[in-house]
Amino acid sequence: MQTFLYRRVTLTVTTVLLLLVVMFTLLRIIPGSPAEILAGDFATGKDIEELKQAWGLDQPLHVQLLIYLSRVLRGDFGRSVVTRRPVMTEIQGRLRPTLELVLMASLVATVVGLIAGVVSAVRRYSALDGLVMVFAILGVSMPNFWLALLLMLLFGVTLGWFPIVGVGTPAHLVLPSLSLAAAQAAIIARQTRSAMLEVLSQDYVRTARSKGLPERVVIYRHALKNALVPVLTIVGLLFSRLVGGSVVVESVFSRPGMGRLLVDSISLRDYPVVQGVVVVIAVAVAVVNLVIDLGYAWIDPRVRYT
Amino acid sequence: MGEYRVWLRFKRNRPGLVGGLLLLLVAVAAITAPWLTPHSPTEANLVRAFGPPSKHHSLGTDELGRDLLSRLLYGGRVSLTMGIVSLGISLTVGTALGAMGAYCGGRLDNLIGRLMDMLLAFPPLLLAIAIISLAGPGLTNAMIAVGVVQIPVFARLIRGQILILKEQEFVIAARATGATDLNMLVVHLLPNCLSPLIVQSTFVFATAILSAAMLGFLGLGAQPPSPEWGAMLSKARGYLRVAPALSILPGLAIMMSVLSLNLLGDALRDALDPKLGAVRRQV
Repeated sequence: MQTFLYRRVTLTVTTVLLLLVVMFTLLRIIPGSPAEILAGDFATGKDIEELKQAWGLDQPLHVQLLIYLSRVLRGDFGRSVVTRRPVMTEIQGRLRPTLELVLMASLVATVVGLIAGVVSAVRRYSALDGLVMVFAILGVSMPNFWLALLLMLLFGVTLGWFPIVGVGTPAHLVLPSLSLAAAQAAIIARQTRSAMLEVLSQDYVRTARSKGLPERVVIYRHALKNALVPVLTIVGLLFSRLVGGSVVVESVFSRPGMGRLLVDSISLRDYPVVQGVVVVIAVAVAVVNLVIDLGYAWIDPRVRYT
Repeated sequence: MGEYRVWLRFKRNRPGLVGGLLLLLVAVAAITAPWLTPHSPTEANLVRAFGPPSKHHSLGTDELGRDLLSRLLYGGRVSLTMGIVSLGISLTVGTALGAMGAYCGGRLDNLIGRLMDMLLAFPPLLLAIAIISLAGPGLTNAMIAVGVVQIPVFARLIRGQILILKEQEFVIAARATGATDLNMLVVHLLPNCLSPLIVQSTFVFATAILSAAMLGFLGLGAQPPSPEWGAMLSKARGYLRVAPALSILPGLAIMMSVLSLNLLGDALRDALDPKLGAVRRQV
């Protein structure tokens, strides 16, 4: 376990470092000097001079890289071109709506996906199985922002059950998390179903049945536990996909989260904020993936040796 | 496996056939758009804005009085083109990188592997957005971004396949008869990766259309007045109460295209090799 831990942590750290180096390089490849880009469209000569000083842009490249890394690793991405406030302050104000949305959506996706997958495997070829599988293939083929619009239309505009824009009450979270979770629930359902079918045909399940164990015990104690192992891999990727998807869903529902901040900053050409959001999200995803992988290795010892 | 047996197996898969027909329908509609509708997809006429379905405009008109049916049909051209170009980028670059890594091994393989790990560590949509934030919004950059995101999928697939193939007797025999490196790759190794490549390409095509639509919706992909489905939905959101059809139909078009490819991909996987285990890099 220790070598695995060591290897996995090193991988995460190098990935994040490599990412930072790539970001650093890209900002120097695109046309325009980095200082002008970071200072924004309405910068004065003084602003640009200050930036050059702060980020050592008059120094040789390798010194620039070190200054960049040391500042970014301390969470200092400079100031927003638009609001002139530190990028980190901007980001902190946007964390909550995104976290709420992503956590709620992962809960919905996992619970719905698992239940649907198990039911559909246990009642294979039944009408219910067919229905679940139809919804699952529709779920992965449907753009989440379109589902969001449809839900807004039905539950917001026509029925008036839920508010369609903004944040604040738990009711504001219902439609966004459903639109974000649908595709992931579909993926989990498909994976759970095929894993369950695989496990249900194993000898030990037949043995358990022939011992006269109740079907419920066979399915939940013997089959599901083992079927969960491959499903966990999929759930591991869930966080990453939900964070990506939240960008779109936040735009539809006008939620003031990280994704909204990112998209708005791109259209305002606010590079320091774009860079900050990208790095923060990437680090968050890398850390969550690390934790999930370690948990995975703890549950299934075989993983440690691959 | 013979092509005929693959076809026999595919033919029995009803969802797969439905997917194939649906894809054909979308493609034919997109290609023959100028003959199917007399209206221009971009010509605005504010007098006719939000027109209901009529004899002239069978699906009505949008907020600028443009014919909705024309926009949907021409939108198919944009979406399919974006999907094909992105797929082309990820397929060629990914295959080349994967083949190079597996074939040369050593440091190069390590470097490519690490780069691919980095790309995979990112949420796919976010990576595309990050690329566009640097390159600037627009149709071309969106296609490139979507293509780049999917490169690791092909690189991993080809690398894995070639590593297995390299140990097979026919490859060792070819090596013994003095085949050159290029010859080995083109004649012996890559053709044997064809089945998984076809299946994977179908899924990547679907994902590319979906991602391109998302970028269009965020205003980072195709720009107005292009009749791109995602961009259309982004505009329609403001008229949800007045003209719900504008929010429903373009999404339906996206879903039909993506669904057809997903059904086709599932069926092809089952027909070509059920144990193939293609991966999806879903957005």
